[in-house]
Amino acid sequence: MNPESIYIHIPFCKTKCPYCDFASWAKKEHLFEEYIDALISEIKTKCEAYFAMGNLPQPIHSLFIGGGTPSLIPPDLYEKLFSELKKHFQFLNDCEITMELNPGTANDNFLVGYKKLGVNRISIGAQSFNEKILETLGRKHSVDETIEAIEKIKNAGFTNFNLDFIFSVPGMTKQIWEESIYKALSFNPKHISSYSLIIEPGTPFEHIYKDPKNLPTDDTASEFYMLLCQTLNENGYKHYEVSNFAKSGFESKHNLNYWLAKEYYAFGVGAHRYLNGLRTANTKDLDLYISNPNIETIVDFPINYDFEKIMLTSRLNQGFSLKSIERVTTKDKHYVKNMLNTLTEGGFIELFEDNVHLTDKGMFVNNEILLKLI
Amino acid sequence: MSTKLNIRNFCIIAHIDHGKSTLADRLLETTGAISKREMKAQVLDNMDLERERGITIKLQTARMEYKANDGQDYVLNLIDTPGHVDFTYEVSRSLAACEGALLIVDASQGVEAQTLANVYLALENKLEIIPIINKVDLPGAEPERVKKEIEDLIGIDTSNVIYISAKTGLNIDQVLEAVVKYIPPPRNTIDLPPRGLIFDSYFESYRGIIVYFRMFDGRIKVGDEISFMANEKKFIVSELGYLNPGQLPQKELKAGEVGYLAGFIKEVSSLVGDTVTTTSNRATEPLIGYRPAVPMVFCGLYPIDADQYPVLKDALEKLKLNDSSISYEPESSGALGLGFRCGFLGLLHMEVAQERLEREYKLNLIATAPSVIYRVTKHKGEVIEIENPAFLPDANHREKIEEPFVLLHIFLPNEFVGNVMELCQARRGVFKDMKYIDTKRVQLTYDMPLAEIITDFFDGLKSRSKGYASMDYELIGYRESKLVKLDVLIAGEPVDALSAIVHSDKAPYFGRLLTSKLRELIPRQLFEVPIQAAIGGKVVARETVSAVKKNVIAKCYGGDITRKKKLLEKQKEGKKRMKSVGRVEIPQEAFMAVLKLEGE
Repeated sequence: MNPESIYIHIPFCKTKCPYCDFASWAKKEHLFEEYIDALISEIKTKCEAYFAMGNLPQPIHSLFIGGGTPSLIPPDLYEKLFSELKKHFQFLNDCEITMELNPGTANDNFLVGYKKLGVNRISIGAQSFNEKILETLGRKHSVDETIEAIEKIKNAGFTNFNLDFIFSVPGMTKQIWEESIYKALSFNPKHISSYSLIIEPGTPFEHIYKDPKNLPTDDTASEFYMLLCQTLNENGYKHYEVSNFAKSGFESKHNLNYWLAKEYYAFGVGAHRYLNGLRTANTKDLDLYISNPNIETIVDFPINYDFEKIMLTSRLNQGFSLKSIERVTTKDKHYVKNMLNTLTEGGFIELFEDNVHLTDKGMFVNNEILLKLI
Repeated sequence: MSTKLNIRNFCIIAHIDHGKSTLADRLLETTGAISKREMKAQVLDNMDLERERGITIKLQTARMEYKANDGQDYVLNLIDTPGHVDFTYEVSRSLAACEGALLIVDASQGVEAQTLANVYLALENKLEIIPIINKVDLPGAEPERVKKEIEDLIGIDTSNVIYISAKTGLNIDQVLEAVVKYIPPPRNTIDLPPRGLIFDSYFESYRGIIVYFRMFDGRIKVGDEISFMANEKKFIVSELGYLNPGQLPQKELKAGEVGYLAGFIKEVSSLVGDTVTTTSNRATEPLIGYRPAVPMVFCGLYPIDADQYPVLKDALEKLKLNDSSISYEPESSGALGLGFRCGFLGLLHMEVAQERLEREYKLNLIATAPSVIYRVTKHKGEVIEIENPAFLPDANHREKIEEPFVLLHIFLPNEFVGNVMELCQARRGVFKDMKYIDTKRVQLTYDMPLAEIITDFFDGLKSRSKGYASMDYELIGYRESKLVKLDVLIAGEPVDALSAIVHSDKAPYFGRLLTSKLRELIPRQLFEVPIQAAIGGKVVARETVSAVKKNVIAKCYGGDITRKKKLLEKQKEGKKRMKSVGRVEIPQEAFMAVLKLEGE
């Protein structure tokens, strides 16, 4: 079946955060228009070629405009982009259309424009409700600007929004973290995503935090995580994926598409797609992308689908079947069976008939559990 | 019959780093046996492992043709020798195939313990020795002092000493002339029944065992039916020839010559040291000059993946064809499953063998800590030998334990004497003697348990002497010691493969060091892992590895799940290097923790 999800990457930011290793650049406003044109050209060329081969497009159930900071781009440019997309794809009436937004970039007119185009979900990079933590993270916005952004999107008529957080940041105490969580809840978001800080190679943080002693320990990170899970659970959020929590019915369709190991289209610099059983990626070089947006490289071949599926679905609270373990495991049947019991006794997993799912505690050691079973 | 053969068979004796391989290369180059272009640096060290470690383990042999100043053509066979304390046995095989030896001594380092031991072996074999002082071009060179040292310490005549630089090629021609002039030619016994001394062998799947040998008497031709005198099996020679150092097929090999032969030889356990003869003109007596190797260090080798047991068995069989000094016997461990107890000449030998098994046979192995053979007397006077600490009978079932002792010689600059004596003391050494070799250098002599030497003594010696000390030892027999078995329990389960036999006075301290080292080496797991050391059921030390709390990829950036997958695959690969014991995964290094204890 052809994909039902599309990812669009917008690689522009006001400033580059020191922990970010994703394809994004600051001070490239002069390239906005050229970039959107390149995106349009990529969509046009690839879709025409793809559908000409006889592939039947499926109606789209989710579109995610991620970044970078997509909210920097004015709506009229998106209008061009959307009209190109609509030439090739049919969007379902309840299609989830998400746009990422960073506090400090929210513009009332832009928001109204996005809404008009069909955007119906906003993901706000709040990261923290503590000024000191924002500073440590190198975020250039204040807590007040985050609050202002939430008000603006509500005023523009958006009711479905997500708040993004980072925990396990140097200097973060349990109290600071708890305050941020409660502050987030006070805005009643439909969705909360929260990641522990990862020190990525090639980022300024790699050098600043060369010595792991200056970072919170894994044990601390785990305490923060458990606090998050517990608090959100008590407040009516479902922990439906390792890092994602939602009010019932507001789980992100786009995210679920990834974790269910389904295919998806992707356009833009550095974007990764999964199409026709192949995972391919676009160049990470912005100038190269603008001059030729059609080059792709294969990132993984051949794909071990069963392995990927268990790796991805194990992140979801719906879990995975015992049969899917049998398909990929290199371990002895008896060993796996004992291990499942041990993991259950240890409170890492729960078993319902032939379905396994990870508990909150289990989710934070997701890899460790997979390694025990496969 | 009485014509002298224009053949010279010789080897090189040198301490590690004194320039043996460089000289060998220079000889090959000068005689044109191998061109500069073909020469990777140091052709004779042809195993990757040897080149990496800068040592020679497997023997290599090269035939050179040389026109001497007397106008005659000579064949010079260089039989290479290993230069490490573990490989005395291999040295003895090479020596037995030669009439002479070049003794290389570094012009600034002087005579080292190992050099001395090998010269004595050469003298026992009645070899003519040509002293050569190498690296005379270097700034710190003191050739005259070193020459006197050779006279005083070794007691050989140095009137014919040659000063060379193998690196620059200085006086290499003099070395070649000296080989022709001083080393006696082989006896011309071509009419006697054929006898060849086997000094090396290795296995190939297509040609069977390839034998390296020195013909002493008679001749062997392609097509001859041969047999080995310690072994009644018969084979037809399918191929034989010279080693230059590649294999150069010939029709026959005659008395005095050195070469290889093949004959689809299979199912022969050990050939090295044996005598090859023909069945049609069978010799009556085997050649002498052979000292069998006695493994002194034992460890368990277990496949991490139990399915690899047959592969390991096959690999050990083949390795033994190539290195007859290795011994192996099946054993089983509660913690590690089926494996082998293997015997080696020393610690380096053991490490090299393990690395070869892993590389050449793609095995993932757990090696347990090295042990010696303990002699245990039970109550009714019955004496048993224990190669595996796990099998030591309980204290109430034994009368006494004896362990092997060695006579240890250490050569070192005098400023490190204090440091090194401290080390020897800590390792239960019994001081015997200290003497000055010259104003700066000292020879220390100790009686010491072999078990102490094989647990990282050499590294300790090197670090306490800034790398200047050298050592050599020989087995002197068994002595009674106050020994106990230290057991290790992981997650409450005894892990037999981690048991160690230690001196009772040091046992609790040793237990603390060991558990603390294991805590470092065993990675955090899903569950807390207690580690205990116990003597006779009484816990003497305890540590805990806390549980892993985080191992997850938080985020999938823009649909890039490949990164996550690669990390997971890498972690999975890492786990393959670990052995599951109960529900605990123990990395390979942990089984060698005993060797990495600091303190003392």
